[in-house]
Formats: sequence, structure tokens, C-alpha cells
Amino acid sequence: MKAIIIDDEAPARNLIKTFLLDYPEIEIIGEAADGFSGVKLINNLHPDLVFLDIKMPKLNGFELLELIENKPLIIFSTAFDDFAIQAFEKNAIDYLLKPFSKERFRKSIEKVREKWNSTHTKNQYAEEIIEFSKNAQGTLNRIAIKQNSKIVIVPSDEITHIEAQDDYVFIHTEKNRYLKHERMKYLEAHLDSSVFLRVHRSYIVNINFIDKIELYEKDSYQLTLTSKNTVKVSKSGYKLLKAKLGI
Amino acid sequence: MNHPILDKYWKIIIYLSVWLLFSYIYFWFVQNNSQLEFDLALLDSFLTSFMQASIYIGIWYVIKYNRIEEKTSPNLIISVILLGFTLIFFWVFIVHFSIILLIGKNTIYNDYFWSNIWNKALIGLVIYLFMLLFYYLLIYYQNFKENVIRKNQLSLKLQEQELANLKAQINPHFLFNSLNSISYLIYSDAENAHKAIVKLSDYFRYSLSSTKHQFITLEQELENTFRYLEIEKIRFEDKMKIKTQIEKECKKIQVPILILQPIIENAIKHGVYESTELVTIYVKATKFDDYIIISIKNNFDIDAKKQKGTGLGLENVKQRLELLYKRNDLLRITKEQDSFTVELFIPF
Repeated sequence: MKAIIIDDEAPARNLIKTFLLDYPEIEIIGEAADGFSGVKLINNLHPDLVFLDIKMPKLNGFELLELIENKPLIIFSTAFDDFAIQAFEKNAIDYLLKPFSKERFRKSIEKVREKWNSTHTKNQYAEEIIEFSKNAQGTLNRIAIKQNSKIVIVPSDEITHIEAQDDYVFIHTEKNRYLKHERMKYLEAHLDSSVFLRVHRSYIVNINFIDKIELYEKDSYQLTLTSKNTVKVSKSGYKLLKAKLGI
Repeated sequence: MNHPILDKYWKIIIYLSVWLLFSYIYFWFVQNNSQLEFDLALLDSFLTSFMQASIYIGIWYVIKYNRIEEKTSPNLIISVILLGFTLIFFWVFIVHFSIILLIGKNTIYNDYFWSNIWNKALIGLVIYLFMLLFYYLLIYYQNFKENVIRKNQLSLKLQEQELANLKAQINPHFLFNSLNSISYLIYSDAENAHKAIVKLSDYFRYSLSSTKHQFITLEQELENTFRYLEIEKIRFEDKMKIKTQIEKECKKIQVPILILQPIIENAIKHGVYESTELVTIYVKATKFDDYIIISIKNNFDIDAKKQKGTGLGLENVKQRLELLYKRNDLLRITKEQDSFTVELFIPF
């Protein structure tokens, strides 16, 4: 089994390496100290198992999972994160709470071995992890997007609006737009609801960038944003908008 | 504050019963001490008490909005006298004219009214003073009750604040990550593991001692800061560098305990935690006029996108300085393109 360790602290990586000495069947093929290099490493080396820290510079562990192509087994390791720990407790996802004992580490490895031996559960588990990590993030302060070989981080407060496009969404900022494989429902639920409103089946808008609201047709409205883009508003969307803006 | 009488039915009933009783006594008194006919005496006593019952319901609002604690005593006395005078005057004559309106000119009643006018005024005065006392006592009691509640809430808030402070000092993320690093050192470098545990213990001992005293010498405060930085250095060995420049004459000056901790944590959090490059933390202390200037500067990765939780620690430092020195210009924050500097001005 090939493994990668991603953690921004060298001693934390070394501890896992030390513990792994007892498991010769697990081979460490790489290490990364931040999320960006982690994504690259996973996409290049296709590991079977990843030890993943959550708090890391540039790209956190959850964001990293959204950007990797193949789906290795994941063991999260974290020191303290109220929200994530609650989420862990409710899921089958395995995690190591730092500092962890050798005994606890062994249990994690055993769980992983079981899953690895059954292709069926392995795939199912990988799906679960992606789903889980999305929900464990709470409110999104930024969105990580893969563009060709580059990773772009867009802070939520720079997003003007989001437009649905089949299985994808266009994330618009004042200067750019980015394509991301994501569901509108997920974004609606996880972006800060005090500024982001789902005004239409195909549109989420950041109310801070609204310039004008005009009647478009009977029962439907149109927003003009400060970026000159226009956004359609449905009848129910207009109700939400009215309540939010107090008009 | 609700109306103390109108807010419950049973209070209204009691209030009306008292006035009915008053009306009866008044009636009995008039019957025995004047030539007034039965129905006139009844009318007079009824109107007299009914009028007062209504007036004193309304007077509550006048008294309530003339807050006793907001007035100087001469003002208060004048307004009480004026109010009483007007009230009694109007009451006596409104009752009088209502009766005249109802029964027309009646000499017996007229004689009775003019010969008893001072008695009536006296009764009015007694009732006025009584009601005034009653209302003021009520207000006093309610204020007292509110004060007790407010005090309780305040002390609850303070306790919450203290708990939050204590939690912040313990900083679980730092504690658990440090212990994790140390647990590796135990395998690789027992000597350094031992040193790290001692440092961590000293750091927490210092944090917990902050509940005992407010001020400490800069030297001790800086020692703690460096302890903290050294522990972080175990975790991020190759990622952080510390540079210091402390003037000797600053060392013995008293500063608020743990005042540097939120600043240094902030520097680590936004510098080291969010960066993939080497981050240097400069700690400087110099004497200038009647101040020592402590400056903590860190460079940061300009590519790192803002994460949540900025500025709360620094806001606390600012509030604390304001509380201790009654000045709001003792903290200066300078953000440049790739560095962040916090300067503290501590007067001595």
C-alpha cells in the first residue's frame, strides 16, 4: 500500500513515519507541508492512502479533497476543530486526534486495511469522504477551483454571483469567471446566507454587488450587478430579495 | 414599567374597592355634619371619589416620567407642590361644577360647598400625599428589584468573560499540536522532548498566574513570549525565524501581564500558519520619552487568502489598554504589502 503524509508540521509527519515503521506493507511515497503541494503529490503519485491534516496554509484538508482526481483512502489527523470533530463523530470516516497513541493508530490502520481489501467498500468510502468533507467545512470563506493545472482560491466576498450550468457552476468575480464541478444546492447551503441569496433556479447572487433591480417581465425581475452582468430573478427570488434588502 | 394598578384585574378591583370605602366614609361624614340631602350627599361623595380614582390612575404616568433620580431636590419639591396644587384645585372645582350642572342652582348645596371648601382641599392634600408616597415607594422598589437583576446579569457576564479569557489562554489548538510534536521528540530526541515539556509547563503556569496579578516586568513578559515562540519553533522549525532587539533599560518596567500574547499569537497565526515560506518575527522594545515601545513585526505570504478570525485578539489588547490607561491611542497597527507590525506604547 502506497501512502502520502500531508501535514504542515514536520514533527507531526515524522511521528506518523515513526509509527508506520511497524507496518512494512505501507510504503511512504511522499510528504507535503501544505495543501497545494498535497494536491500535486496526490495527482502525480496516485497513493492508496493519505494521512491528511486539516488546518494547513493556503489550502486546508477539506479543500484539498475537492481538487484531487483519484480517490485514495483518507485518515484525517487534527488537533482541535470543534466543527470537524462533531462531524467526524457522526461518520464512519476515520480520524486521529492529535496527540494520538500507537494503539489508536493501529486501529486506524486496521480499518483502512479492511476497506482496502474490499473494492466495493473502498469506492463507496471514497465517495463518502468527499461528501463528508464538503459538509464538515461549515460556512465557506473561500472556494478552491482547479483551472487546468493551476489552483485558484477565490475568497467568498469577491464572488459577485454564481450561475448554474448543467452539472457545473460558473463562479463570477468582478474580473473573472471560473468553472467548477459543484451543485447549486450545496453552494446555497454553505455560503454565508447573510450576503448570498438564491434568487433564481440558476442564480445565486451576492447582495453586496447589486446595482439595480428592474422589472423584466410580468412576475420576473432582473438584477444589474456592479460588474454590469445581469442576473434573472424569479418571483420567489424577488420575495427573498425584498425581505433581505428591506424594500 | 407597566401601570402598577391597571396591569392586573384584581388590582383594579382592590383599587376601586378602596375608593368605594373612601366614598362611603365621606358620605357618612357629610350626612352627619351637614344639612345636605341624602341623594346630594351621595352624588357628592360618589363624584369626589370617582374623580380622584381616575385622576390618580393618570398621575402615575406623570410621576413615572418625572424620574426622581434625575432631578435636583428644589426642582422636585417645586414640581410636587405645583402638581398637588393644580390637582386639588381642579378636582374640587370639577366636582363642584359637575354637581351644579346636574342639579341646577341649589342654595343648600352652594352653602355646603363654600363652607367646606378648605376641608375638601385638606382631604385632597392628604390623599395626594398618600398617593405620591405610594407611587414613589413603588418606583423605588421596582428600581431596587431591577438593580438586583442587573447586578446578577453583570456578574454573570463577567464570569463568562473570565471563562472566555481562560479558554483563550489555554488555546487548545496550540496545546494539542505542541503535545503531538513533543510526542514525536520522545522517540527521536528525548533530551529536547524533556526541554519542550518544561517550556510548555512554564508557559501555562505563567498564563494561569495572570488571574493573580495584573502587572509584571517586561522582562518576564518577554520571557514568556519567547517560550511560546520556542515551542512553536519545534512545530515549524524550518519555517520561522525569531529576531529580537530589547533595550536593557526597558526590562524592569511594569507592563500588563499577557499583553503581548495575543499579538504574538496573531503574528504566528497569520504569518507562520498561513505561509509556506520562511517567516521572520521581529520583537523589539525601546524606550522613548515616557513610554516603552514594543513592536512585533512579521512578514506574511502575500498569496495566502484571508481566513476567518482576524483581529479579535488585537481588539482585546486595545480594550485592555483602554481600560488600564484610559487612552485609546496606545496600539498602532501597520499593514504593509508583505508585513504586519503591531506597536504598543506603554506609559510608565
